[in-house]
Amino acid sequence: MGKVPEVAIARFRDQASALRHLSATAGDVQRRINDALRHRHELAAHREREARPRVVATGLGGRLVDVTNPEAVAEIDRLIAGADAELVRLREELAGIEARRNAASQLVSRCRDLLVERGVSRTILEF
Amino acid sequence: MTLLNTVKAKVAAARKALQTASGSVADVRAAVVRLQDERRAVEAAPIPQDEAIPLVDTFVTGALFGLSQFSSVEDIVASAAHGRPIDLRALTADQRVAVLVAALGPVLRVRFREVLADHYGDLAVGLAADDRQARLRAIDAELVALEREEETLIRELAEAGVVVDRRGDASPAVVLGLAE
Repeated sequence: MGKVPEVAIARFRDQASALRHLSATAGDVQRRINDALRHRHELAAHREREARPRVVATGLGGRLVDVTNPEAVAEIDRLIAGADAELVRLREELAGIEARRNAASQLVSRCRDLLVERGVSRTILEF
Repeated sequence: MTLLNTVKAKVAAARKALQTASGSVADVRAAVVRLQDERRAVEAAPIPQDEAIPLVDTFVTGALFGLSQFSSVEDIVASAAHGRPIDLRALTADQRVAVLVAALGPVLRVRFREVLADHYGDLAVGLAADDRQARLRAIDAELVALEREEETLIRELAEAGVVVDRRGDASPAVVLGLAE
């Protein structure tokens, strides 16, 4: 390992650990975005069903009546607006984490290059 | 003072200290950015015109030397010295290039300098070579000092439980403690 002190290796591992933590956090937020998108699609499908004019036959004359429920549609619209706001928030959160992760990745990469340049084995750094 | 008030006062003091330390990191980073900007500006600034002239002259001389390798004008005029007419049609392509180089060389040098002078015009000229190198060395030394200060602050904050991300372009040597 040459003249590189152990503390430098330890510091590198701290940085690499921080990077892994950020990657895991970004993965969690991405999963929450996927869930929120799925929920949003379900709401949209539900709304479409509720808003579609439906007709039923009544009586012997076969009179047709529209039974669309505007209150239910309005409630679903409120839920969709909430889901959209949550998606915006999650995407902003992910963008922030990605920016931090990119900076951490850049630094870890440069630290690794420096240590390798000073004779430290890549195997030791991968751990 | 009640125990609760004492604890509250200590928490407030700790919070203020953390804010001060966080602010210090921001201040150091702002100073780093200013120095990095200055470094780029020093490097990007045009060198003084009198330092550029030799570079242009060297290029012209090199170009002419390269062309003149084809043939020597001496060989051509030697014919006249022996009373023989110089037959342009008898010259090889290389010899014709040699004639052009001999005729245009001095003109090219003057012309390149004129174009260089026009290029400088109102150009904001930077530092002379020696001053430039000295300034860059000074900036680099200041940057290392600032980065060490930043790293120290980040470590102190981490010990207090406050995580501050390092910059992606932070010095690896400083972060790893190899810059001492």
